[in-house]
Amino acid sequence: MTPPLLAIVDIQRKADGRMYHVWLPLFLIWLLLLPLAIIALPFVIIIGLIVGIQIFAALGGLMRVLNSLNGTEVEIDQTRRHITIHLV
Amino acid sequence: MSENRRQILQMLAEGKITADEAERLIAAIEKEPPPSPGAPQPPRTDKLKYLRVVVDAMDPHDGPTKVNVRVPMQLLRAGVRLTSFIPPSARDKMNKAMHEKGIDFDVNQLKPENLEELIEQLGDLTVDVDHEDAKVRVFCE
Repeated sequence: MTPPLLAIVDIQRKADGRMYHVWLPLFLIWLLLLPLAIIALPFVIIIGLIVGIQIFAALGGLMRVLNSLNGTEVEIDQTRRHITIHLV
Repeated sequence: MSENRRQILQMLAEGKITADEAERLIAAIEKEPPPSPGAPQPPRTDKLKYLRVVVDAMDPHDGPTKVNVRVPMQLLRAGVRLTSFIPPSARDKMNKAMHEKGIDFDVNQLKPENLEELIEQLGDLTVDVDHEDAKVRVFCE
């Protein structure tokens, strides 16, 4: 399993029926975060040792949370617009 | 001999129940029909895929607003597993903060081994909150 790679956003304006269909590339965020995560890893390990957390197990848990975001859907229906966000 | 019948006879032999009580218990067991293949089964946790939160509210700027959130059950599982990495001091603070808000909940009781049971219970649960400004419904599907 991988973290969600795309956020599909649909925005419909009810006044004129215009529809916007946007694919947001979330994988770019993960790619940008990866070097930062590697730089931060030694500091995170030190903090984990001080606080007493099993840091690698916790990071594994965090990865599981990110991977589980696949399939999350948010739908907002208002008088003027209808918005749907779908993580895939 | 079934396990139930054996237990009843053992209780009778140990003097925990009288012969009349044993007879009544055995009769009750015999009356109990075996589960038929067509009978409704309790919800299996692996069939519950999503937690659905539906909010119907009146927004002061945008008028009536309906929000529908679908959260994968896997996220709930992963989140609960992540709670085991919270340091004990932080857990105590969380418990205290929730207690102050009137929520009598112990985070220490949230363990991965209790998770499937918790999700199974969620399958039977529907939370309906009816407020004059908003209606909230939480259920599993």
